[in-house]
Amino acid sequence: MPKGDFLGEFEILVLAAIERLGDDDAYGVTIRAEIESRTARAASIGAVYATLGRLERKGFVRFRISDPEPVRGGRARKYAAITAPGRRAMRLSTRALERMLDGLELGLRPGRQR
Amino acid sequence: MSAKAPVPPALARRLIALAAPRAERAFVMGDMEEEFAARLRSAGAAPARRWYWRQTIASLVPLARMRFAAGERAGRREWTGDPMWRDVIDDLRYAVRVGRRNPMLSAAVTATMVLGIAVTTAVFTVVNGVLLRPLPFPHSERVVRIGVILRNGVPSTSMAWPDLQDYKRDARAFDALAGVSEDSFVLSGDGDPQRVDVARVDQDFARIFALRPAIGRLFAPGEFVYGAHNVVVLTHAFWASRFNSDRGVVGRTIVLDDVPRVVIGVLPATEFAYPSAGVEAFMPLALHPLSFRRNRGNVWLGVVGRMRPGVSLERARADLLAMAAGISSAFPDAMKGISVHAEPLQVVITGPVQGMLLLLGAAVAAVLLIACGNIANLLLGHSQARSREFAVRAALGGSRGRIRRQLLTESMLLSLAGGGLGMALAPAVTRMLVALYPGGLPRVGEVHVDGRVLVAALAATALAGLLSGIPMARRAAALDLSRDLRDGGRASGGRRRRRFSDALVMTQIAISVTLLFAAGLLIETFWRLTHEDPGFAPNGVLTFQLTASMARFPTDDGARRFYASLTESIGAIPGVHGVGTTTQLPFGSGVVQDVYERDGKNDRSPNLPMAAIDFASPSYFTALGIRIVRGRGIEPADDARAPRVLVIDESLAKREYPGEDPIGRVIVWNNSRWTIVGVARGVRIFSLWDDPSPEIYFSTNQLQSRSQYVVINSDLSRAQLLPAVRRELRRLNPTAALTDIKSMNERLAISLAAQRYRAVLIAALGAVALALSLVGIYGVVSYAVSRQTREIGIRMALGENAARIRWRVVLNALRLAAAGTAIGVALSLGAGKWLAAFLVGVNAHDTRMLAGVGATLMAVAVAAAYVPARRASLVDPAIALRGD
Repeated sequence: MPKGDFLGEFEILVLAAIERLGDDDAYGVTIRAEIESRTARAASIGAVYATLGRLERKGFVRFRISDPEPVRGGRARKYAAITAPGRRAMRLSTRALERMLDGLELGLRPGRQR
Repeated sequence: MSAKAPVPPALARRLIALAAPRAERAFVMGDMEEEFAARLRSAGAAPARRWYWRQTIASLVPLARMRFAAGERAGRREWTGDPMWRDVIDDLRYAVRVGRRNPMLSAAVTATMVLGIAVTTAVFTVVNGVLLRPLPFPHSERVVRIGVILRNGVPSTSMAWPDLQDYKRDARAFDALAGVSEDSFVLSGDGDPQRVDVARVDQDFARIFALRPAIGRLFAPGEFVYGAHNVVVLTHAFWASRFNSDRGVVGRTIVLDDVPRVVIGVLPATEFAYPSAGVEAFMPLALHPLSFRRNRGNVWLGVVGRMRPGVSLERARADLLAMAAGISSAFPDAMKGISVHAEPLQVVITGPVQGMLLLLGAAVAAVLLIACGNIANLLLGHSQARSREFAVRAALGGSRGRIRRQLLTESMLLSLAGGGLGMALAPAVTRMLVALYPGGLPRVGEVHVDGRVLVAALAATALAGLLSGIPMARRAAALDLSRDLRDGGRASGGRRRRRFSDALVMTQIAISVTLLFAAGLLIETFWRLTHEDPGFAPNGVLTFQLTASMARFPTDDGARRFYASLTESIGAIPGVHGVGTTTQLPFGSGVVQDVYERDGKNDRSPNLPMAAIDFASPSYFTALGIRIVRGRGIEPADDARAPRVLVIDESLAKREYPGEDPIGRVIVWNNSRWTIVGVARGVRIFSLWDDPSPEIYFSTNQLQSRSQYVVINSDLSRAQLLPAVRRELRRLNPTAALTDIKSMNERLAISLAAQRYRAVLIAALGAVALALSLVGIYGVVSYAVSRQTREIGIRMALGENAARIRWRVVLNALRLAAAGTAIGVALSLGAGKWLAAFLVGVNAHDTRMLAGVGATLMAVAVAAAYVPARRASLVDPAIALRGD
């Protein structure tokens, strides 16, 4: 299995955010907000775009440019959707992670924190 | 305006646009803007702007990487094949590593640079926006303001109406000439009555300033005729603030000075307006066929002209002068001896602040220079510790040029890091500078960061990087391989390095002396002015301006009665000691000066004297605490039926009747004879630094002006007094508006605001310079001590006592300080001539001040040297000698 099929942590976060938002609502602003609100971790729009770009090159996401909004000065958005290979890669990576963590006691689960 | 507008920070936007790959730019920026807008709604402007900046800073690196990676894929890396660029990349990488390895040093250098560049960029932003950029309308460089030069040689900013008509007909150097006159009206109707600043303009005005309506239309030719129906055009800002940007206002009637007028148009939003930035509405300039304003001798009309393309200022002036000569020989009675002058409009508008901004710029540049000195010294010390590294590189074949380049790359990288952050901070500093500026900076709406500012800031950063890196690079290139390899630089560096550091510190001290001296002089000026006697008693006096409109009071008598009853009813408010009215309030707005004639002189010479003309009520003198030093003041009995009288002030008495008693003498003014009944104390009316100007007080019961200042002397606070005054005013005249409400103490403070601003800013910069010099001295002395540890150890072993060793170190610092101070004194004396323009009653070569500043610097040098001196005296000879 080529190394490129495994995903980095932020890539997983971005893909998960797209999956949660659905194909019709995943773009820079919402992806960033989803990651920030769920992980309480700051994510910059620049980082989101850089990651999306990488994921597209690997063939894991594809983009759809929307029509400009029907208001004055309205702009087009770039919506992201996960491709089939993308979904596969996510499964692969998260499964690998799960297997590695299985049985380890890291004090990470809810209710078991110090 | 741009400072508070709810748009993303312009600089941050530009940075994002720069970093983002082209294909993504629109999307990234769109997303940023979308969220910015959401935050603007939920959290307000400042948090939204902060968020935008945080996002920008966090996004720059990922975006830039993305862009770089995109370029790489596209096969645009051919330049990496060039060995020179490969070297640069290597140098950069290495520089980053060095910087990381020495976090304290990097932080110190970067922080110094951030401060230096932020302040420099901010000041340059202001200088650029106010002084350097052309006025924002087409062909503004061809527009001049024209005014006459009066018989006594005083240039006026206006001219007579018939002159302008002649110039319009004959001038060949101009393709347009326009008249404009400032006026103020009271807008009544819905809401409180409000004062509106209006410019009356003639038919050529719109062409010169390329005015176009945003809504509606501008004036039609038929509307410049007297008796045409009353129309008004609003400025965008006034339309937005008073009419909530309601497009329906156009076509509606508004009431100005109790006369209905139709709004026919609104101008587009602009950051520039002539004749003043505060103008709120325009009206056509139309004169009654019999108006006295049509007289040849009546100089009242402001004039601007646009020179034809290719015509030089000199040629335009010559053209005007020739026409003025023709006019004055054709109408000798009115115009003999009257000439004309023309200045570029840009000079007219920004001239008053030019000196101030240049002073600020020079002071900031001086501080940046000192900061560079400190950085250079820091890096120099650091390079000392790296002697062995350079020696190894040289031994392995690294050329000196290559090492030099490496070191310059390091200092450039540090200064670019600091400069970048400094530029990011600059807009905030700019806003602060502008907000603090007294009395409003001209063209303030046009002050923002543009390409020129960015280029200048980058140039300053690069220059600072070079200046602070060159000493280190030079030093490193002067390697002594065998020695440096042997003892790792501990004993090396030697005289050359020390001489250079010493020179740097001396320069810093010299600049600090100059800055502190300037600050001292400015502070003394300010202090003196605040203790100057204005000639009246400002405490407890509240003043405001009021207009009795023609429409409501058609006769002068009605207006007179209105002011009389208002004075009386305000005087009846408990706690009020005195109320008076005047047309010429000291430090108020508008000054009327006119020529007068001593009786019997019958002097038609071109040098008739001038005096300030004031119509004052009887109680004005006591209300403002102006003493009558001789004779009597204006009295209630001095009315239209009584003999015509006037009161002159001391300075006029001294000028016209030296050693004589002026009481009973006659002055001719406005074709009437007036008898002097009293002499009042001289009052400073323009500024605390001009001597009291000659002034003539007429009785408000014999001459009437519709616009007057009301002067109230009371024990009441403004909050207690104003509502009571407003109540009385509503009763007597419901459509009148109080304007220019200020206590006399406020007026005095405002008149000194520029002095205070100068004194505070230069003193602050002087303090920064002093602090930086302190660090500089400390650095050099402490380095010298650490280098001499062995020598000190030997001395101690030989029996020299600790006090002597301390003294030797301090003496070294004093020597530096003395040399630096000497240079600084020379610089200060040189700068004095230039500073004199800002000083009042203070000698620009004040030796005591210089001595004081010199002593301060010496004391600072001793303080800075004390810590290292103590360390030197605590050297343990046994350890110091073993150390090698």
